[in-house]
Parts: sequence; structure tokens; C-alpha cells
Amino acid sequence: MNTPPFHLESASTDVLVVGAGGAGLRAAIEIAEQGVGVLVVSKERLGAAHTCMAEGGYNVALTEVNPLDNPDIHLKDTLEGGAYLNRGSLAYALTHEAPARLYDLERFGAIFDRDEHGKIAQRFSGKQTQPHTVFVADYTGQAIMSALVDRARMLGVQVWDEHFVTALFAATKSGQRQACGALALDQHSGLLTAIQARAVILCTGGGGRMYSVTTNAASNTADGFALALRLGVELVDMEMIQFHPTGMVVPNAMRGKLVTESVRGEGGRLFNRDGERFMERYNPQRLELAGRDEVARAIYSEVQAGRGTDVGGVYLSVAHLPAATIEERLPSMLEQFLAVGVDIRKESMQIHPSMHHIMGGVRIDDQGRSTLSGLFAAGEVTGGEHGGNRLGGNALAGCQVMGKRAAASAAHFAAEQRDTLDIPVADLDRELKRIGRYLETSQRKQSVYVAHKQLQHIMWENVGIMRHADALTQASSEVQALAATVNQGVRAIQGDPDYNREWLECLELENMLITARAVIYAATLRTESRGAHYRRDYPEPSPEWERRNFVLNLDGEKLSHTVVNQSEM
Amino acid sequence: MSITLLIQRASGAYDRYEVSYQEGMSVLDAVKSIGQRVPDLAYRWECGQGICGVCTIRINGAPALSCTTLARPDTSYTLEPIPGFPVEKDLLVDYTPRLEKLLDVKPYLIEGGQPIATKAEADASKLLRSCIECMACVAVCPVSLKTANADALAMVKLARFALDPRDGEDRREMAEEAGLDVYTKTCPSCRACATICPRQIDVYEHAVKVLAETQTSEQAL
Repeated sequence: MNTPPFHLESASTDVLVVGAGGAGLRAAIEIAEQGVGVLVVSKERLGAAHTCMAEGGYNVALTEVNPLDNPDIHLKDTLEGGAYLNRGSLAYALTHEAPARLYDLERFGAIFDRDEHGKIAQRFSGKQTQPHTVFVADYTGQAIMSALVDRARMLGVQVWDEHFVTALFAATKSGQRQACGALALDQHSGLLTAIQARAVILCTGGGGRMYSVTTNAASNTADGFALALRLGVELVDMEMIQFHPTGMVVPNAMRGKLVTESVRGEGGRLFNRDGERFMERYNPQRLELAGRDEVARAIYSEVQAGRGTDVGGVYLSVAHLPAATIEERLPSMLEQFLAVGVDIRKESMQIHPSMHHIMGGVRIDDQGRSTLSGLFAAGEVTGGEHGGNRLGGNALAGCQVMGKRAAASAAHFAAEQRDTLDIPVADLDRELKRIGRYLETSQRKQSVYVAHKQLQHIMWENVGIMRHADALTQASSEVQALAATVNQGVRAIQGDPDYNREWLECLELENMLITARAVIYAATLRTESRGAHYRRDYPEPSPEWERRNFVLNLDGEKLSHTVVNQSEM
Repeated sequence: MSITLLIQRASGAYDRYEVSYQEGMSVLDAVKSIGQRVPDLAYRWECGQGICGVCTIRINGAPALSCTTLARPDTSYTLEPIPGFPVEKDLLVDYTPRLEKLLDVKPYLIEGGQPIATKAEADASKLLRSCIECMACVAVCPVSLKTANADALAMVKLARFALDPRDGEDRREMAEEAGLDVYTKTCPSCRACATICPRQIDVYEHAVKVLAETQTSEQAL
């Protein structure tokens, strides 16, 4: 390497877990408990992954708590919620193993809230026919992360936190390509380490930062989708983006921040500027607890029709509930709004949909296997569990179920390998060149922050809640042009690799750009409205695309696709 | 309207920055906007919503989550790394030594107790379980900053498991070994921990006192 002179360390492990959120830590715990070597590499400080921001809860049918509920009902709700695009075997695993994984979490230290009889309490979230959601007030994700961190500490799981995995590698063994490692960048020192692994589990979460209005944390920059695509791994359902119905609107600095579904689960009501409870028009049966896709579109439509508030939102109110209920069940929301001068015990919140979750992702089977041998995946980076629309509460359950399943497969796979494969030198060199280019400060023509904002604007305006062929075509050409600009002139100001936040942002932006292309590509293919994907030019579901999924592949620079029927799997 | 930030940099010197004020902006938002101009300014942030606990810095002398501290227009803020931790660079501190030391008190559930039977048993540890390890208590507690024994976070963890009926470990004895008496004897009752904690945990009231009142397994027999 010429510029800059990278110093490359090396390391090796049996199983490399990329990401330390709910899925990654659950996977690491499983592998450590099996006595197999594991190394976790994550961008955030341990415990701070985006899972901790999940507020509402964990969906699970606990027949021992509610005799009217069982996993088949949870499965039915999940499939209906997912517009029957879910991969059947994944939805089955999620709903039928959610109870066992919930009790694992309690074994690791979590205590889900109890009812007055001492049993685990449950509440409704959107589109549930039984109240499947268990919770710890309105900070369930944080409670789950704490338990996972506790257990990982107990087991002495090796974690490299605040490290960024820039690429995954594959080598050829007996004529077959197989995952063999990754390149990790220490976000502080800038040191690079090539990590060889017998198996790799991708648990990098989502990519909300592609959008200007999002509930997602800083690290959600679509890294996993990009890592997979560049390695030739298939993605599925990438057009399926969930917009959470209720994000904050004001003050502007807080735009997009999550207002948990539990607000509606506890009885919160939506009103337009005329004081009309408008969900009565859109879904008179389920009202505010219709599917997230439906409620988000209803709010969006009200605002578009001029029935929104002055700042472009609608009202969400729990003021009719007893103050004590709000204080006990929704303490974070109470605090979040009090901080900006709104007392939700007496006043309405103003909300608008905010980009929340990517249903699509790495195509996996029910053992967590991707289409590349030796590469496994779990959590939001995968596609298929949630189909066209995820039920609130199914992500926390899904990451626990598939985190454990992917780990069991990966541990088994790693144990079967006689040796660790070498990372191909040419691939490693190419990767060092790719990331090193952003440190060529003399080539700098534009700030990464400006380019990132442009991407967010393109995605929010054209690939949002309601889509149209014209907007998608425009988004496609704008993203391609932006990618060319980034390629030619977005560079860090500072050429040293240590404490170089801008360099990291360049690498993240490249990941978001390639993922955005995949989202736009898939959204263009689906010429109908189904699940979270709504096309103004095709407002109805089309029989042609019923139970059909788009599988994407990147070959060089070109995306291609095939059509499959996942629900049969 | 603008706000002024005086940020202590790695050299020890304070650099002065002006940021234009936006309604609802947090101190973190101000730091981030400076970060776009000063690419080597080192600081942490993640959730921006008071949940992940990584953005704790000293704001006008007091440790706080910078993401939930709203900035006021035409105000000056002095920002420093939190005390009690080795400074890596600028506002970034190294948590490793204290997190390694935390392992001495086995900060995880050790089986051997009884299952949870009532709501009251579940709720007993709820406040302490809401700890996000933001380290603000450690950085403000005069006892934690002085003692080589367990810090405030370790006391919170010990009490959290002492209040969990499922835990089988003698947390009182463990607390004594970790230096509980330093807290019972020398806590100046400044209550800085209680004011600073984003989850309203009063380390003395909710942890130290609870541990001091917990029976050891010998006493329980």
C-alpha cells in the first residue's frame, strides 16, 4: 500500500460475530456456552447497540399466562401482518421458539414486568388478535440488552467494541466459495486487523440512516446489507421498509425520534387538526392498533390532505388515561416529552411517521444459513421473518430466536472445518485500497456530511411511505450520480487513520449508497401495493406478485434479481 | 442566536467554538455540528435519546448525558471528559479499567435463589435494573473517585442482585469485600449521584443502604 501506510494486524477465531445487538450477543452467548471460540466485533460500546432503543416489547404467546393464546395464533398474526410474504419456516421458528428464548432472557437476568398475580404481563401491539407483547415498562430493548451483556460478561465472551468491520471475505475450498474472515477497523486508533474465522455470523442490524427522518441510532448505516452484497450473497424483500407511525415532529432537532407503539397499546388515540379520530375511517375495527403500514399511511394521507397540524403532524393523545398508568407504563415517553415542555398526562403529542425498520435483508433459511457457505445471519440484517411488514414486538423475539439458531449452525459448521482458510491476499489488498482512498485528502472536493444529507433527502422524498415509478426512477439516477460524486471527490479532511470520524462516515456512506440502490431496485420491481410497500401508480395488490419475493444479487456493479416463493419454504 | 462551547482538547487546552442555535437542540447536537468542522474532535454518541448511555461528558462541571441536556440559546458551555477515567482523547474516556474491575463483583445473575412469585418481587430491583451504565454516578461520587475499592456502579449492580430473589450469591458479603464500609462511613450525603443519574437512582439510598440492610447468608441462617 502506498497511501496511507496501513499497519495490518491479524487475528483468528472459530466463529466471528459481526454486531453486538440483540441477535449478535445472543449468538455469541450460544457459541460460548457450546465451548466454541467466539469473537464479537461491534461498532458501538458494548451494550449500546440499537436494540437498546426498542421500546415496546417482545412478542410471545405464553399459553401458561394466557390460555387463549398459543404460538399458532402468533404465527397467524405474523403472517397476516407480513402480507404473507414471510418465509414460512422463519415465521414458524420465531413464533414457536419465542417462549423458550424469553425464558432464556430471564435466566440471563431480565425480569419482564409482572401482573398483580405475579405472572408475566402482556399487552396488545398493532395487528394482534391476542395480547402477545411482554415488556419492561417502555424500555424493553434496554432491559434485554442489559441481560445479554450480563451473560456475555459472565461467560467472558471476547468483544472488540468500537470496531468497524469494513469487509467480509470468502475463499475457495474444494471448488466452493466459503466465508473465511473480515477486516476490522479500530475506530479510535485506526488500526486494522484481518480476522480469519471458520464461520461468520452477520448481525449488523438495519440502515435507518439512509433516511432523513428515522428512529434509528447513529450506527444504523446499512453496513451488513452492503457487506453481503459485495460478497455475492443474496438479499430478499429489500423494498420492504417499515415507517413507524409515530415519530416526534417538534422540535425540529428531535424530528423522527421514536414514540413507542405502546402509547397506542395502552390506549393512545390519533386525531387530525379537526379533532377527528381519523382511524375510524381507515380501519374502524382495529383503529390505532391496525398494522404499522396502515397507520403510517393513514397519518401521511391526513397530513397530505391538509388535515395535519401546523408543523405537519397529527395528534396522539393519552390524556384520557389515568396519570398513574402513564407514569408506570410509559415513563420514558413522559420524560421525553416533558423535556420539551409537553406533559402527555394532559396534552397531546404531535407525531408523524419515521423510517424505522428494514424487513428485507440477507436471505437465510431457518438455520440462519445465507446463500454463502460459512456465512450465517440473524436479526434485522436478514429478510424473510417479517415478510412485507413487521409486527411491533416481533423484532426483539426474532433476534433472540434466530440469534441462537444461527449460532448453533455456525458453531457446528466451525467445528467441522479442519483448518481456517486464508483470506485471499488480492481481496485484502483491494479492500485496503478501497478504504484507503477516502484518506487521499488532496482529492477532496465535497464533504461526506453534505453527500450523506443528499442521500437521506433522496430516500425520504422518493422512496418513502408512498412510492411511484417516476419518483423511483429519479431516485435511482440521483443515487447513481451521488455514488459517482462520492467515488470521485468525497474524502476525509484528515489523512491520518486515528480518531478520524469523517473517514468512518465515508465508509458508512458507501454502504448506504449500495443498499439504497438495492431498495430502489426492488421497489421498482414490485408494481403493486403490498405490506409496507405502497405504490401510488399501483395502489392495489396484484395477483401476479402474491406470495412472491424478489431476491437480489450484486455482480460487479450490477444488480440482478430472481423471483421466488418464500412462503413455501 | 448561538451557543458557545469551550471544549477541553487532548492537549489540555480549551478550544472555543460557536454554533448557531436551533430549537430543541441538545449539547450533543452542538458537539456533533462542531465535529463536522473539526474532524479529529473525539467524542461518543449513539442513540441520541438518553438510552444507550455512551455520551456522558462533563457539562459546566457536572457529568451528564449530552444527548438529553438541552442547549439554551446565547449560553456558554464548558465541556470536559468525565473524571475518574483515563482520557483517550478530547471528550473520549476509556471505560476498560473500571469495567474490568466491575467483574470482581460478578455483575450478573448467579442461579441459586427462588423464582419470582409476585409483582413486588419483580419490581424490587426494577429501578436498579434500569441503569444504563452511563458512568455519571462514578464520575460524580467523591467516594468512588477516591477509593481503590468498588465504585458506585458496582454498588448499584450488587444491590440489583441482592434485591433479585433468583440470585444465589451472598451479595452482602461480596459488598463488604468490595468496600461497602467505605461508602457507609464516608459518604458525605451530597446526593450528587441522585441528581445526576438519568434514571433517578440514588446510589446511597437505593444501593448502599439496601446492601447494608441485607443479611449475609450466615445471618440469614
